[in-house]
Amino acid sequence: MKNNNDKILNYLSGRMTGEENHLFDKELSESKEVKAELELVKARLSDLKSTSQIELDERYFANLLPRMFNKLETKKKLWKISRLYYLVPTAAAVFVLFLLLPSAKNNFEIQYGDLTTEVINNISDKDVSENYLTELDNYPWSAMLSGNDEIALNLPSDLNLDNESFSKLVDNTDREEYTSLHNLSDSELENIYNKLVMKTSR
Amino acid sequence: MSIISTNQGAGSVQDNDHELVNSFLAGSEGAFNLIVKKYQKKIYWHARQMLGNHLDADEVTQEVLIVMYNKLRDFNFNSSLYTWIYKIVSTRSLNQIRKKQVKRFFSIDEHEDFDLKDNHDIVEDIANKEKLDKVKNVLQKIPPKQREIFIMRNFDDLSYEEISKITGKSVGGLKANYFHALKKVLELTNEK
Repeated sequence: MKNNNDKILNYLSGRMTGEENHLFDKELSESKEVKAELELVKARLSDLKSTSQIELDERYFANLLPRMFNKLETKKKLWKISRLYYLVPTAAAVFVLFLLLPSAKNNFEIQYGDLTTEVINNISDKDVSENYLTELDNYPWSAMLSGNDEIALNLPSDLNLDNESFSKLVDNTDREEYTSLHNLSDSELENIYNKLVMKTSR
Repeated sequence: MSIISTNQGAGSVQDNDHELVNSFLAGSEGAFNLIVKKYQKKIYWHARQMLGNHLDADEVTQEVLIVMYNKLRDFNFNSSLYTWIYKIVSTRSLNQIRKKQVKRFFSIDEHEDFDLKDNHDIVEDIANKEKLDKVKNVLQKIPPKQREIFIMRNFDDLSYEEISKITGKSVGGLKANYFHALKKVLELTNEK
């Protein structure tokens, strides 16, 4: 019986090979018992299947589309609302940043401006002209390097530069020496250049 | 073989899915209504047999219609329309089953009943309700994947090739699944 059952299940589920199928068909035509078993199984399956023919309330199907469109609308609204959950905090954050960042900049500028004003107000014009401007005239490089040891240390020691030489080297006022070169004609400049080349090549 | 039967004669607009889809794409809402009218009962019955109750089946049916409405623009007739619809129903039904299993898994109350009561069933006849309950009791005891194959073969008369297109499984695997489903169904109906 169990053997027949498995055969029937294999037969109904299409798992038999062509030859197995042919043999089972032959068995069905010869054995009433096997045929009855197969018919019983088919009847039980058919009984289950008949439930899909059961009459359903047509009002449900008549109302299906309007309900679907309502649900669709609700979903769209929910989607828009769910977007607000992200948009509102983002907008709030941007707004707060907008408020905070420029004010921080303004605070910095105000503080810096106040300090500058205070320094200028506390130093008289006389002090500025007598001390700072004179010092800049005499030792422009020391004014530039004062408190900047790093630059001073980077000066090559074998240059043996005294203050005056270095001052000329970095001082903008010595620019006149270079600018005087512009007053030379091309031939004069070439002549000087050639003499320099001859001297350095020896 | 087609699982579709319509009230209209062959060659009418309702029978032609291609024309209906094209009409819908051209802006005809009426064409969508006709598509729904044609397939709504198939969708509902598949969902109902998979899920075992009206409320879940109703939820899945509506979701399927929404997906159809939103995605029909992307449908390119690589498969037939009913295969495409069946894919959606199948996926949504299995998802609904998984959702319920997850709810059960995380439920604090072990005895909480997740099977919705059919207070608003659309089957009114008591004898028919009893028949449906019997089928439900059998089908709900089969693993969902086997249940799906069994429903497609036994209730929807789909061929293995059609089921293969819908589920993406090999015909050999489907035959094995159907064999095991049949075996369990016959054992369960024998017990009664």
